[in-house]
Formats: sequence, C-alpha cells, structure tokens
Amino acid sequence: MIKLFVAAIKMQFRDRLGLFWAFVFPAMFIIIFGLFNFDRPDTAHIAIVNLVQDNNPKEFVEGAKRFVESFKQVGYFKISEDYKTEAEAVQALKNDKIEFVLIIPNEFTPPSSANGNLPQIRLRVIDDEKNKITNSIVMAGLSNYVAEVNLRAANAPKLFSLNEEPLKSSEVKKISYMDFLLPGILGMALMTMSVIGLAADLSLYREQRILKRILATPLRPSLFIASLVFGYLVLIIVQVTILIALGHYLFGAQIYGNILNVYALALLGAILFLNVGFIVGSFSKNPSGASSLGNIVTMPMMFLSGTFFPATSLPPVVYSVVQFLPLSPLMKALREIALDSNATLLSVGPDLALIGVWILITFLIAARTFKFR
Amino acid sequence: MSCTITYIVSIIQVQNLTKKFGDLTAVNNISFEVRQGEIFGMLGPNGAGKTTTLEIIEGIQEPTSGKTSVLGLNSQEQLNEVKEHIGVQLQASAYFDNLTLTEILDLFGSFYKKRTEPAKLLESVGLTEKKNALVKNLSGGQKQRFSISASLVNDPGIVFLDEPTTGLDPQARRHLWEYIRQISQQGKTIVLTTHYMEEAQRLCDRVAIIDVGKIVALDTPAKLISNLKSSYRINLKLLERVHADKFKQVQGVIEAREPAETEEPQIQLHVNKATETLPSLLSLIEREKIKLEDIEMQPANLEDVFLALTGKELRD
Repeated sequence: MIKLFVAAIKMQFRDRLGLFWAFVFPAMFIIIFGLFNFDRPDTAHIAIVNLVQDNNPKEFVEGAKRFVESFKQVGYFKISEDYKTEAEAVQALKNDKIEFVLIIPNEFTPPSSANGNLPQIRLRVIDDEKNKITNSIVMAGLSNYVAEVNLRAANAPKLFSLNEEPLKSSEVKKISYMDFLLPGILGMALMTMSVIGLAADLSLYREQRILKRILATPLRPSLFIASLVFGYLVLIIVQVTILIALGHYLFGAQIYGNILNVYALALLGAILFLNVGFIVGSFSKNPSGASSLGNIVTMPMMFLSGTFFPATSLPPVVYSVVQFLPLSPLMKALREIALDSNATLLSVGPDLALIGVWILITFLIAARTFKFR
Repeated sequence: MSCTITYIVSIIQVQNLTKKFGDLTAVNNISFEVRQGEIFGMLGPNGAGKTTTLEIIEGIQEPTSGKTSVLGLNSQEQLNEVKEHIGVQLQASAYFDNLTLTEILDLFGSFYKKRTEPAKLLESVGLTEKKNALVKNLSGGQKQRFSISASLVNDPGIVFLDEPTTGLDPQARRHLWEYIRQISQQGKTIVLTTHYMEEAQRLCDRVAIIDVGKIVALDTPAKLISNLKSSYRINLKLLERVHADKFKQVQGVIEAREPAETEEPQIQLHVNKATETLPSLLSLIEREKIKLEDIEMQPANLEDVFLALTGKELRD
C-alpha cells in the first residue's frame, strides 16, 4: 500500500506538463503582475511656463524664479520646464503628455490697498476638465503652496504650525497589490491544477485502459483513487510553498495571518476542486477533452471569484450571484487569513461553511458520475 | 515409446454465458471448459465476443446471465480470490507513463499476496536491459512483452492474453509466441484471443472458433482441419477472369470460389485429394485455353475451417 502512495507521488512529480500547470503557469502570473507596479501613486505631470521677462523689477523676476525652484521641491508633482510658450504647453496638454499647465504671466496687477499696497502676480492654471480628481488634488496643493508663499512674503505671524510625525513604515501595514494578489494566485493555481490535472489523468487512465487493468487486480479501486488524491494533495502543498516563496522573495508579498491556516484552506479547497476534477474526468473521453472542459469550468471562476481584483468591485447584481461560486468563499477566506493577522479559521467560518456545502455537493455528483473502468 | 497418463483437469468453466449491451448480444449462450496446462485459443474476427467473454471470466465485466468459474471459484461471487490466481493482459492496455518498467512491476506486484521479483519477470521476457526505461520508449513488440510480464507479477496459475500479438509485424509475432510457449512450459494455463489463424494453429493446444457471440467449433487445430471435407486448397492465379462454376465439374473439387478481397482474377478450389484432382484440373485448363499465371497448393488451415463453418473469411 505504501508503494502505491509512493508511486502516486513519483508520477505526480515526473509529469512535466502537470508540473508546468502546477508551478510555471501561476508563477507567470505572479511575475507579470509583480513587474507592473500598481502601488506607485499617480503623480500629476505639470508644465510650468515662466513668462516673466528680465526687464521687470528685480523682485518680481527673482520672485518668479524662486517660486519655480521651490515648487520643484514639493516632490509630489512631476515638473517640466520644457515648454517655453503657453501655446506649446497647451498643445502638450491636448496631447495628454501633461495634465496641468501653470503659467506665470509677464504682468502684474498694480499695488492696491486690498493687497497691502503691493503689486500681485496672477498665476494662471490650465487643466483638462475630465481629470477631476487630479485637478482637485493639484489645485489644493497649489493653493496651499501659494498661501504659504504669500504669508512668508508678508512676514505674517504664524498662529498655527503643522508638525508631521510619521510612524515608522514597519509599524504601519501597507497592503500592497502583491499581498492581495498572492492568495488569489494560490486559489486559482490549486483550482486549475486539481480540476484540469486530475480530469486529464483520469481520462488518460480510462482511455489507456489503465483503470480496467487496475480492476483486474485485487487492489480496491477506492485505494487507487485515494492514492491519486494523496498525490495531488502533496503536490498542492509543494505548489503553495513555492508560490508563496516566489511572491515573498521576488516581490515582497506578505502573509500576515497564520501561514498554517493558509495551508489548511488550500487543502480544503483542493478537496473541493478534486471532486470537481472527478466530475470533469467522468465526462471527458481523453486528456484534451478534459483540459477543454476543465477550462470551461475554471476560467469563469478565475475571473469572477476575484483572483486578480476584488470580486466586490464587480457590479452588485453580479457579485450577489458570483459570491456563491465554489472558488469565491475559498478566495475570500484565503485573503482574509493572508491579509489580516487577527483572522482565524473561526473568523472565516461562514466561508468554510460554504466550502463545506460545495464539497458535499460535488462529492455526491462525483460519486454518481465517476465510473471506475 | 513412453506412455504418459494425463489427467484432464478442467480449470475454467463457462456455462451458458450471455452478455447483452442494449440490443446487441455480444456473447450468446456459450459454454466451454479450459483444461489445466493447455494453451487455449479463442479465434474469431473483431467483434465476435472474444474480449467480452474473457473479461467476464476475469471478473472485469458482469454477465447478463450464465456463470463462469476459475479454479472452482465463481468469478462473480469470489472475485478477489479469483483475481489473486489469474494474470491478465488487456487488449491494447497501457501502463503508467511516468514510471519505469521495474517500478510498474513492483507496484502491480504490491497489489497481490504472492509476488514475483520485477528483475526475474523482465528477464523472462528479455527486457532486462530496459528495466529503467519508460513504457513509451519501448518498441511495439517490447511493449507487448512487458505487458505479458506484468500479467505474471503474482505468479498466476492461469494467464489471460487478449490479442497479445495484434499490431506486431510477423517477425515480432513469432518472437512473442516463443515467450508464450515458455510461460506455458512453466506449467501455467494460458487463455488467449486472436484473430490470426496462424497464431491459433501454431500456438494453441485447443481452439474455440467464435463468430457473432457463439462458439461454432472447439477442438485441437489438427482435428478441426481434419474434420473438413477438403484437405487441400488450390489457388489459381489467372490472367483473365473465369467463372468459378467452370471448375466445379473437375473431379474431386468440393468447392470453387472467387476470393472476395483480391483484385486480380483468382480461383480458390477446395479439394480432398490433390493428386487425383490435379491431372483433370490441368486438362481442363488446356482444353478451355484458360490463361494461367500461377498455381499454388496448400494444406487446409483454420482459415478454411472458419470459412467452411461461417461462410465468411476470417480476415477483416
């Protein structure tokens, strides 16, 4: 009996195509998505056009230059001074090369009593009305900045000051896209491997009459099935380990919760999807048929259950349905355990219950459809 | 001359076996026995019901009605006991792609109480050098030999071989017969199916001729042939088509026919005594100015037996 289980593991790890689907395919997703940086904040690209000419009073020429220099220090904005005229800058805005044009005109309003008997430079801002969010951020930043410069110029007393006290980054949990993606990839990978891999194996064994050959021996068919399932569970433990290691060491993905719970969920999910594999294998004549049918079953879940993006961002009507797909509770529980250090198997109880219901349903269907011959 | 007394022991019994798949009756109420130590052949065209009969005896399929027993054990009721004592080679069955020959034999051996060393099994079919190879890297003949060795993992008393030489070239086929004879010499009973007349005739002690689910004859190949009315077949290759009826008047000709499958004009004569028939045949040819390309004479074989019993040719 031990020989049977050892042989099952040997076969699992010598099957090159199977290993590709188990490791290379999900790893490709991790690498591709890891190379995109979804976490870098969008910086507004601003073109500053300083039109103040040198023949103006010195304080204005200098003032305008200082304004540009200090504005560059803000850091949040990406500043370019490549555009020398308003027309050039506006053209760049129209071509979406920049989002903002800030013009320092070569004119100033004469001194007035409202302005403490000082002349005033009227900065002009041109933007694209469609970029509402960027515009409001930039305008808020700009007006703060202008106000600050004004106050300094006027030597006004400061009643309030702001002192930023940043917490050390190690103390603050910043969930990156990679942290979010990794549990998604784990769920997707174990689903596709369990369903497509097992269905392909079963249909191959049937097509090549290996199941029949087993039937001609005194071995109980249920033991042979158990050895197959065992081989897959071992492969899935290795798969989860390799994918977590890849995400962590290559792209800094973190598992915040108890990693043992991640393994427990992965094994539970594997049992569910191995049941599905038996069903798909029952209806497939050969491995390529199994692979097609397996893809038809797994592909929609891969997208609808939130592998790459939260399923909750789907339209509410769609989400209200897809949250009950077999992969959905697994994804949700995996993510909760992975991202929340306080999450326990108890706190994902409702998801576990839904997974349990699916295991029961799929087992009953598999037991009715799968014929060992 | 030595005198041996042979006790005939029946080791497999098949009684009134019938198997239906929907409207199709694959096996139609057949009964026979296999004796200990013999090579028993089931000869018939594809779809005759040979494999179904075999698989019911092996316990892989259930009969619609009737009973089969092996070593006195009922194949349906004492299934696991039966499986311990038989070796099975399935028609066109493969083995795991990712295990070596030794690993497969070791694995299959572990399913039985009694087992034989993989090295010994591989040696017995001349595959010692391939012990660490994968099945997919074997030639057709090697695959069949391996498949036979895998049926011997439990050192069974009875070995079932379903079409063991199908798909092999004639040389590989004869080669495999030698291995099958060696297994028989170890005292094992062998039941095999084939649709090759020559295989049944040269390899088997007794042959059951099967057609559309029924046994139409069962005896030693020699007896089956000697029971034929004609003991020789004369093949005439002609340059132009001549009606077969013309030859029926020749003295000693029992049957004259045009074989169905040939393109060139040909006549097949079934005769009893060639020496009596040949002179009158040649004088007919001369008299009628029949343009003869070739004349060929051979003793009757199981092909002729099948033809005589079913009116059909054995070849597909």
